[in-house]
Amino acid sequence: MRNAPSLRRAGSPRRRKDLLFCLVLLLPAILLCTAFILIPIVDSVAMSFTGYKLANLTKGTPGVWNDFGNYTRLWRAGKLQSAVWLTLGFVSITVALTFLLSMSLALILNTDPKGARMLRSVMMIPWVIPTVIAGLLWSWIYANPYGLLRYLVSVFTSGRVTDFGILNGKSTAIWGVIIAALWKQIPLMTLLLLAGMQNVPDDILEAAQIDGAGYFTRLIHILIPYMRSVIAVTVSMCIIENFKQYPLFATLTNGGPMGATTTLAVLSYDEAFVNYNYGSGAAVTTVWLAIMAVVVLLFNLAFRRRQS
Amino acid sequence: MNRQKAARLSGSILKYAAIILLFAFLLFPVYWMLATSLKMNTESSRMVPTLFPQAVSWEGYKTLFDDGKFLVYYWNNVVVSALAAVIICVISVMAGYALSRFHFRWNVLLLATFSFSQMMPVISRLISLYTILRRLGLTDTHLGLVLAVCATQVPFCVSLMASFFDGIPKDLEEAAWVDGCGRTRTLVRIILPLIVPGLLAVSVYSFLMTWDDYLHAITLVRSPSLWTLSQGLKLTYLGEVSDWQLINAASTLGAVPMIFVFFFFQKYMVRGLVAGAVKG
Amino acid sequence: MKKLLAVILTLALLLSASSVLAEQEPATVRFYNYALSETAKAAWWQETIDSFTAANPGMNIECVTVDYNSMIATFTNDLASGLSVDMIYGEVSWIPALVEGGFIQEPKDVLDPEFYAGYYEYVLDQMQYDGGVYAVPHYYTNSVIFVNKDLVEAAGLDLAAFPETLDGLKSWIEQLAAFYQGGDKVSTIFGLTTAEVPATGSNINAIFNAFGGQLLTDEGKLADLKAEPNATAMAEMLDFYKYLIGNGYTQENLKLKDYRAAFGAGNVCMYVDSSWGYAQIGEVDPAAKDFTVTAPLPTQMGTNGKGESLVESHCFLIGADLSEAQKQVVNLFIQHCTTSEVMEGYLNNIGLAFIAHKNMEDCKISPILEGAARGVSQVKRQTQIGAMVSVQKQLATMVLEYTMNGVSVEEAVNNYITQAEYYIDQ
Repeated sequence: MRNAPSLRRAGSPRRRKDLLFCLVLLLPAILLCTAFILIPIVDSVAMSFTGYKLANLTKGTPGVWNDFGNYTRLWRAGKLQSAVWLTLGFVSITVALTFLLSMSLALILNTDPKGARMLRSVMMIPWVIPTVIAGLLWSWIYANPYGLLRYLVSVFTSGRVTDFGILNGKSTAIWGVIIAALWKQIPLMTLLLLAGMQNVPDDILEAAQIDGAGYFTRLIHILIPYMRSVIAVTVSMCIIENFKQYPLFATLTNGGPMGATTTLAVLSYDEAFVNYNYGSGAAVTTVWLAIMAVVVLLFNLAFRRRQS
Repeated sequence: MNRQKAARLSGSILKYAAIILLFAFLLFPVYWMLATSLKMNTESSRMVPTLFPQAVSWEGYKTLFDDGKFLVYYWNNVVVSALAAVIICVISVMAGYALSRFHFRWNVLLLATFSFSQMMPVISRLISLYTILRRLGLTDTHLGLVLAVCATQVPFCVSLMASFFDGIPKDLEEAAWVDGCGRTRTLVRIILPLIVPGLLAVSVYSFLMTWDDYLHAITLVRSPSLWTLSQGLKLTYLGEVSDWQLINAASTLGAVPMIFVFFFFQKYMVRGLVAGAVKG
Repeated sequence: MKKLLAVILTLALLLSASSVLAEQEPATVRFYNYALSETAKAAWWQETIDSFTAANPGMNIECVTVDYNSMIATFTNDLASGLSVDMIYGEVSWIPALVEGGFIQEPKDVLDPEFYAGYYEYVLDQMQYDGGVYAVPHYYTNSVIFVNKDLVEAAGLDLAAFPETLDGLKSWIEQLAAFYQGGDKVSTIFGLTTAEVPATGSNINAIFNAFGGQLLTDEGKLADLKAEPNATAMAEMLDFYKYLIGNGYTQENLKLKDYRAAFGAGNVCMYVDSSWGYAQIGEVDPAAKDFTVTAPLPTQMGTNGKGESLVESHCFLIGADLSEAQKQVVNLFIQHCTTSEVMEGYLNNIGLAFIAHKNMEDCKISPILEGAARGVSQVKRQTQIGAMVSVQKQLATMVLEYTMNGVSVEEAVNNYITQAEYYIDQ
């Protein structure tokens, strides 16, 4: 991965000391991750196979194995399936749109338009605004009947649609969340893609241009292959970020209307913290975790394979 | 020739149109938040919204400051975010150095575990996290919250820090080594001053991310005197209250310092993020 | 002589002091109150507690704010770390979870029997869970119609003749709609909330009862919604929602707080809410009190409906492990909070509501509520169940499915039954 270490060549006692030193340095990070991430995860996976309710929590009694009861109950009610599809849909649409828009913006900014430096800084404002505030801000824009969006829609349809509430319709609500997510995520991805773009050697691009390659040919055959690793990293960051998305759903839709935005995140929170069925909540997060791991793995495999 | 000119002209018109559109999308909501925070509620509740506040009213901000609660949340958020930044700096300097300089076989495994744990959805950890903190006696404390939030930032920050260490030539340490400088002293005296930009990047990143935290705070912190900003905003102002002027004023105040922090440390921040993402 | 008098006086003083001490050893009660996050209420509580502790030396009340969404975790956590949960101010819907968690006991074991007997039965009935009454109401509301007097009178309608049947109400709605058609002023003619949040769930459940339905059996199971009179009530209720939403008389998926804001801004003719919703109406525009009046639900709604809604109440819940001294503090404090003198200001200015105990009978009720006062006791009893929040919230889903998505009544109800049973049987 990195250059062969020179320190390692030293004799064995020194190496043992290195090992010790290295361990001590790593210890806080390992401890923190183990105590606050790994153990809770293992614990929660175990909990998902038991009936674990409010009384277990208050009285400190362990849950009782219930033969996958949490999973089958969620499955029979159709909640798990719909949440899985919704999550996958939300993630893929959001990631695709974020990538497309960020790439376009990065390409434009890379041509050094007037005020590019200034644009690059103010662009980051949505990214630094806390997610809950972003949710509040968009819920005000979407508000019906006083929101800005309702008014704009009524103007653009010249008064035919006067009560448009994007979060109210079963088919439109998810788009409301997607728009807010795009708003929050485009800046960072643009910034990173732009940085990756600036590493692409100019002479190759110029040579291609002289050879008569058109803009899109250059884009697809030179620029994007050069940026492959940046794209891989930013897109997988984006996938994870959206898989984990909860605050936007919590502030904008809370899973509604009619369950149209009940993703795995919302479902697990509902089961565990609204209905106090912790085992069931844990079952949802276990499924969630498994799917996310598979998606990220598949994405990375696909990218690696094409790269080699 | 003319056609080429026309093409270039239309190309640049298209370009600027795209810039205007995308930036309107990114920035207008921020303006709208600001504008609403200065409008009376009766003005906000009009069927035809006003682009500029007709009568500028500072009522929302005044309520927030008079109220006192908001300032408490705010201060808590500053404390929590600063504490997280400090802790994460210490941890990631140590771990980052170790990963960058000593290459043992299990380092790879460790990195993999780190990046896997970065993916963990927060909600799946909340119930057990809560039990663990209770055992440690850290529920309802800022320290407990900070540790839990830090744990989620460790993976990214450690690999970010490692990439900064990678950029420092090893000759320096070897020289110090020859001079009889111990491992710890080498790290603190010689290397640390060289990675100040890395430290800044990591701490600003951590500060911003902790400022943004919502889920951890809402489960691990109970007492309203300890509530953080996101938590306080959601619980106090988004319940059954519909005072949009107040909500937007609070949102503006919650967002503005982050904007300043970012602009102030932009250079390091951008470098750090790019280094973390592009190399990591 | 003087000396003797002094000695006697001192003795008497000492005696009386010691008798007070014997009667009332100092005790502190930790009082968890979710209402403290609202400024006006917090100030009122502080004042009330101060006046109570001033009048009862040795009795202390320590206030703890608790957030609505995380109260269970708060109590669990505090009990585990040795902080007792002695008294809670909360909502009826909290009862099941608090009983399950072993947090609370029945108030009849703590309060003076004479005082306890003074609660209105139809309100106290609502606090039942698992065979016991686990809370006492502070005050209550049923569902009332908020009416914008100015808008209604401008359309030529006479408030003295407020409709007492559903058909009458519909004809008012249509007249108002015709009058305000095409204008920018009015956004809602007759508002009914349909957002999928807990407050809406209980609101819809109340409307279902007003149409003559009953959601839960006394045993806490889902009632048979396909048998009469539930089937008719359900169909008629759904049709009323469709009538309102389909004709644009109300918007779909709005929360109560949205209606409150819009009503305060003067854009709503009528809408259905709990009486204390006025707090937020007044927040938008303090002058709203000049145009706000209320009315009870019509007494004839559909085939079987008598306009009886459900009780909503803010209530006292009493911690499970109290010492005798603490019980006395709780007993006296609740009595202190249930007097006309203490409550009149609150019920008129902070949380508009109806009284739930005969000790408050002298309380002057807010002029805004005068209209609705006619229907105060038009309420039905409902057993509490653990899954109440979700079971009621699903009602909103059902209404939206039917009104917005063209799902048939039968299918909407079937879906509802599946979902409700999912939450009840866990």
